[in-house]
Amino acid sequence: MTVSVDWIFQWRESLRDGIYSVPGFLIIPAGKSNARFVGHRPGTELRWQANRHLWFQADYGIFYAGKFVKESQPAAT
Amino acid sequence: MIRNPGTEYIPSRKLSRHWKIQSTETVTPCGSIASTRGCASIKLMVPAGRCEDAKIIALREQRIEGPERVRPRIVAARDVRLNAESRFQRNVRKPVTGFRSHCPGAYVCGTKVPNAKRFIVEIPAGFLSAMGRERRAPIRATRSIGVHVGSDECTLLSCLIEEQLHLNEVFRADASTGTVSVRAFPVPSPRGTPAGISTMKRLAIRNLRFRKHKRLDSGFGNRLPVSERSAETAIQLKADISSGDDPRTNTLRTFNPLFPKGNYFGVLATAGPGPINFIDAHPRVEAMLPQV
Repeated sequence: MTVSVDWIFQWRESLRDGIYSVPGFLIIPAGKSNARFVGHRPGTELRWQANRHLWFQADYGIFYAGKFVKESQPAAT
Repeated sequence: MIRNPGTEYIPSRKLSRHWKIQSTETVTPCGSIASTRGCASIKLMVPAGRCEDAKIIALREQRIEGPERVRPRIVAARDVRLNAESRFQRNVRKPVTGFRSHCPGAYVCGTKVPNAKRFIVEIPAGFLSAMGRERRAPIRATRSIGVHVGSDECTLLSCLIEEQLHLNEVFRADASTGTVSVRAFPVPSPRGTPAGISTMKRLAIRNLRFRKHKRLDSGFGNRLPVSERSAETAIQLKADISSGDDPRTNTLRTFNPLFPKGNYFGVLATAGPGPINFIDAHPRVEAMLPQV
């Protein structure tokens, strides 16, 4: 049984390019914001190796939006 | 320790810390294989009255003079050395030249008390590799080592050492079922060490010296020093930079990974197929919980 805690900090490399979803689609295009910081995500993972071929894993994490995500949102939020 | 052979033993405050009284009845000490290093000692006690002529056999002082003395009936109360004769009872009242005490000899093994119940020490096989790092391989078998009830930690450790195992942690002792669960990993066989005393033994015993003495059947949770446990914790730091596009140019500057990885940040992926247009830092700490 292993427990791990990780923390991801993410920025944009190019300020003129957006960020992409997991399959590769553009989810937040560039243009509205000039910020570089996308956000950070602390998370924890619990993993149990039941046997050689099977493990169970539970993850929990919260993504905190950075300046780029906040500024790129519609004005309502 | 015993300065005056032949005199009766009177319990007093002068009792060395190496002597541990096993019962409240009057006892006559008949020998002590005390470590030259002042570590674990051997307690040999004879109940007074059963052997009126129990002699105090001094170890080092008397040996020079060399008279043979009658070995009285001996009960190994707790721990005897690895190289002590295990047939105490058969050699009653036969001349012996003395109790062997090959120096430095601080290690002990299980007592030979008759009719003693035994603990079973369960050691998950393949749990830790020789380097002390965790293997993800499952626990395949359990090895059992018999340790007598009432044995202390020295005894357990010595039994483990005899089995070529290095004790890492004792995390459960169940008196009702008579099992003690320990984590241990194999040590390479000591070869070329003089007189069969391995460095591992010496180290293990030296560690014991500073530890509080507790009995197995009351459960104990002493652990070896932190340096040997730290292999179970891993600290990682990952960082990436990958380029993104600049629409002012005609070339696609977005980094196009040949084999994009969707869950680049683990199963809680926040951004996508890595690494495209991001700079990230990803510290991670992993710890292995004690096996229950």
